[in-house]
Amino acid sequence: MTTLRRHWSACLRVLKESPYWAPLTSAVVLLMAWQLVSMSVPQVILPAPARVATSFMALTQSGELPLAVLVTIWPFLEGLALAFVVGVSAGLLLGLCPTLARLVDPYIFIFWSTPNVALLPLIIVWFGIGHVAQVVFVFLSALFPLIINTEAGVRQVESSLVEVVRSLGGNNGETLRIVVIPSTVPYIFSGLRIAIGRSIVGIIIAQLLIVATGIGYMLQFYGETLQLPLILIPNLNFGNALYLEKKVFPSQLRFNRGSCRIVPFPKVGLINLVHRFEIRDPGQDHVNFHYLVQR
Amino acid sequence: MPKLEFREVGKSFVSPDDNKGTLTVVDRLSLAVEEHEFLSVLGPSGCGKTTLVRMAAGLIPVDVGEILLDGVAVTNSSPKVSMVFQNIGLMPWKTVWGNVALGLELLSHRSLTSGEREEVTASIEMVGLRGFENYYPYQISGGMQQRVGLARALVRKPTVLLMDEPFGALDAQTRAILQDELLHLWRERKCTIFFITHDLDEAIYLSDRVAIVSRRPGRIKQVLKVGLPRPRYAYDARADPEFVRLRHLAWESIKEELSRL
Repeated sequence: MTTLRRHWSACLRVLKESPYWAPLTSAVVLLMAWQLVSMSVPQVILPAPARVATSFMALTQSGELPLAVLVTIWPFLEGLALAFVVGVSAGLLLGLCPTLARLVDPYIFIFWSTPNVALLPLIIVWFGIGHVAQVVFVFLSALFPLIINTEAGVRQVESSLVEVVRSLGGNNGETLRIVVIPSTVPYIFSGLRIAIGRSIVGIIIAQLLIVATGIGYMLQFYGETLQLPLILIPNLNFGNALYLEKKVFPSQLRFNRGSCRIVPFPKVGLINLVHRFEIRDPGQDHVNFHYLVQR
Repeated sequence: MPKLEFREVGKSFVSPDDNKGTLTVVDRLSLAVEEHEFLSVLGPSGCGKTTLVRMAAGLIPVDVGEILLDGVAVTNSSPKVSMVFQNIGLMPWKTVWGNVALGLELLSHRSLTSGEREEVTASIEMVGLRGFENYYPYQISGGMQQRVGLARALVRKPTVLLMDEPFGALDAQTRAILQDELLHLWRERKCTIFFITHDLDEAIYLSDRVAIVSRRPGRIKQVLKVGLPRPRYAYDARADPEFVRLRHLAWESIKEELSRL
């Protein structure tokens, strides 16, 4: 009995010292919970993890999923890169020039709080329903967190450091290069983290509502044909993308140490799942589970 | 001709309350620092000491009067002048070496030549930080950080060193050690030092002359000549009767200012 307990505590210690114990534990718990719930409800309500995995393999082998990812990633990256360049430059400018900020800031906050979907009709009229429209939509999704964070970053630059550079003979360009930009970098990165999350949502919405292609289209297609196991795959895939996004910025991970790092489900996936149910029958404005179970 | 001269210098700031108008911090202050002199400005808190040194560094303009460096009015930061700050102001993302190198980079406005790189290393060695070149500021103690601040200032080979309460944030032992090292470096480098402090002992121990500034608006109230022999770190100058006498004089003068509210 005591030996068993000692073994057990030794195991726990090893787990706790490993950097992976938290994400592993939470992933295992999540999978177990998923499996348990899926065993007690019909498959159409929640497919078992194993079924989702099988569908994932099938879709990967058929080439459908990799292609969809490729078609989704490209405009996503283009829009994000554009937003990064424009957003960081604009943020630096606004942070350095208070007068300009007073003129422009209100509009930035208005646009930041506007749902991008509301701009869809304009985007379609201006940019059509092709590749450009997707890029523009991603760009708009990613732009404002980058501007706002960069601007806030410039505002908090320590004036004493600026004074040091001035006293050593630094000009404006050198002050920017030596003090302002390095001390703004953490803010830019946290803006980028938010921007990446919003861009993922943006590209899926764009592919659902503007251009029927990529992951967005897969969601729509499998959702409408009620192939639930398949719906979960694109969602999980973006979950992975979000996880990778966390890996890219280890500095942010340091702040998160101690909290769970499970593969996060993107909200759009879940909302999308419910949404699909809702619009199946236009006559009903809430989810009719009985209807689904009977089928 | 004095090395650094304040001529009837005045400075006011707009007070935060609109109806109160302006706050005069320095009022028609005149003071001359001779070449190779170590002059301390001593005064109670809020007497405009820091404003004085920031004006001398060209960081803020004077309102009236003028500050002359080698007979030329100071309008901007000068390559001949280096400043050491109370809060040190090291770039947290640069190593010790990078922070000291900044002193030269901003002097020449280009990347360092190999000769200049050697000067940076020599400067780090001079302040006793050999072996710490690749440390970041947060990895070294407060005293070591101020050594880096000193190395960054001295690597520029300034003729005037402006020091704004550089040892104010350090513990007593570290401060004593750095004071002695400063005297040593000053002896070697033969520069002019304009030193701001609120610490009586520090001012008397280090300086050739101590200028006592009155409470706001700041004016020179009294200048004490310190007749203690040098080098002072070679013997216990603080126990010298002359030191005790000067300390008493300075304290009486400061006490008068403190009671004048």
